[in-house]
Amino acid sequence: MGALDFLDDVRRMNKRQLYYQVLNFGMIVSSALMIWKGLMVVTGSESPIVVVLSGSMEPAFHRGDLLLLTNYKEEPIRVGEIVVFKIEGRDIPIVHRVLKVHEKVDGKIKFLTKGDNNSVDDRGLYAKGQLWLEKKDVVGRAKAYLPYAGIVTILMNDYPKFKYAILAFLGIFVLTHRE
Amino acid sequence: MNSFTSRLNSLFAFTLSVMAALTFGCFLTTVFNDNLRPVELSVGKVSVKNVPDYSADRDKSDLGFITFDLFTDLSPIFNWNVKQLFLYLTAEYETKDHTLNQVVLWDKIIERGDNTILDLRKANTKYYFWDYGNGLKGNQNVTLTLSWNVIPNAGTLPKVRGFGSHKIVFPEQYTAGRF
Amino acid sequence: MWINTTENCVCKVVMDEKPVKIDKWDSGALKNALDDGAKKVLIDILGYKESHALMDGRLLICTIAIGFAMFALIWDYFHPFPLSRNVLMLCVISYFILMGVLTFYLSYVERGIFLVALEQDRAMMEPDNTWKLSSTLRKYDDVYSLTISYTDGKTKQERSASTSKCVASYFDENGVFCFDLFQPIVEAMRQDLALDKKIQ
Repeated sequence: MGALDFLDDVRRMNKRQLYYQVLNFGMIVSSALMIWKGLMVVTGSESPIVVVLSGSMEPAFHRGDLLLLTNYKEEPIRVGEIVVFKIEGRDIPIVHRVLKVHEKVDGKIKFLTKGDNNSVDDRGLYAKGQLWLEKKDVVGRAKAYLPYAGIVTILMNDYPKFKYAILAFLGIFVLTHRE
Repeated sequence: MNSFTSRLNSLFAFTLSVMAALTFGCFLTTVFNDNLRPVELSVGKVSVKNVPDYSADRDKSDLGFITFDLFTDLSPIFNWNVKQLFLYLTAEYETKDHTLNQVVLWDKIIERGDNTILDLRKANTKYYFWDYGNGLKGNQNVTLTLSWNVIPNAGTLPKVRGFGSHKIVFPEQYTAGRF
Repeated sequence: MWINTTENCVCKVVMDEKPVKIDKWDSGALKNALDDGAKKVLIDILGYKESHALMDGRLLICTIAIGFAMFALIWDYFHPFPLSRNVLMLCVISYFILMGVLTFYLSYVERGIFLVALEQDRAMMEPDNTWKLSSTLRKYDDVYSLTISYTDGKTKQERSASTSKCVASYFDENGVFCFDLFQPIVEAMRQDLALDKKIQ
């Protein structure tokens, strides 16, 4: 009864079974990856599912809620829509509601956003000197909502060690357990 | 199923799948609602000034002032899959430079359990009615509408424009002084 | 003389390895231990040759599928999203088709067969006889069924036999696999199938 008893399974495997074990692990990772990339293709957004990280849209969205985004080029941006956008110099995209829209004849659009829970519009959040957002800043528009489903992501973000522990544990479990 | 942890695991997995199925069922029951309601809108005083917009580029822009009356009963929209309504009053118009301008003048969050009958008289706007340039003076065709974004407990986020609108006619002259 | 050598073999094999001990509540581990045992009888003791064709087919499908996923990942890294759309679409569709192929392969081609053993004719005159072993052990169930199917190399006749027994017959209370209890059963099945041939 050694501490390495869990490796007995691995020791009993032949070359093919070992390779299959690695493939099995690879397929779990690939399936998740391919579902994500598939959603990217279907929704047109580079990040089709986002987790709400701040309370600026309360009481509609809380920290840890999940949003499904789409980003079709032909779909116009209108007032009242909830958009996810990126600001130069900020890593984390922001989820806020469109407050003002000005669209030119050629379809070029300028718009301003505001968080439901914030008392002022987002000009203070934009890059220095930036007054309006443009279409290229948009990552997606919120189309569907699922509460609490992203809470594990919040935990992982707040405690990076917890994230690595979970990943390591899952990896070892899948690699050492036969089929 | 011999140890406490494996039973706990099965229980957890089963609970999770039942909850997922129920959530999906809840979403299905409300996904085809049109959430449409009539809205009575009218405006009182209308005036326009030409002043520097210090919140934006400091150029002289048109700033509209209106007071509005609003009556609507939104209680039929609330069902078991509505968490809140986000109401917003939009002014939509065309100017020389922009084919479409949308400016939110007022908004309100109605959560489940709040009063769903709105009856406002001579209400002031919540946000400034800044035009992007000088397109408000003498503008005969500014449409005022009330829309709402339905935030469900889980599901899609429909954006609905209330049935009924009001046309604002701005005067041909700027108002001088404070009002 | 023949029996003697077999016994020596058993001794050697058993001496070589430490006894297989598993978590007796884990049905996957139970099945694997029993499958390995049956394989040991045919390959290590009787000296049949293992054919890896079935397993290799599965490995090939999985490898190609993962290849598509890796390619999509790398391509997307060098050509960020809106540009990589068509390549991603191609990879995603291929990947999910391959997953479908894999499911089909597992349920209609492999059908739970964990060993294909070729019994070579001593004189190398006749074609090999084929032994296919498959087994089932349902979750939360304790009955292990082993099916051995035999195809005569020369006459192409196929016969099969199966046995279903509680797993407790092959394991002791601590979860140690008792190969000496399992081996005679496999041996007997094999002999019945092989003798059947001679009677006909």
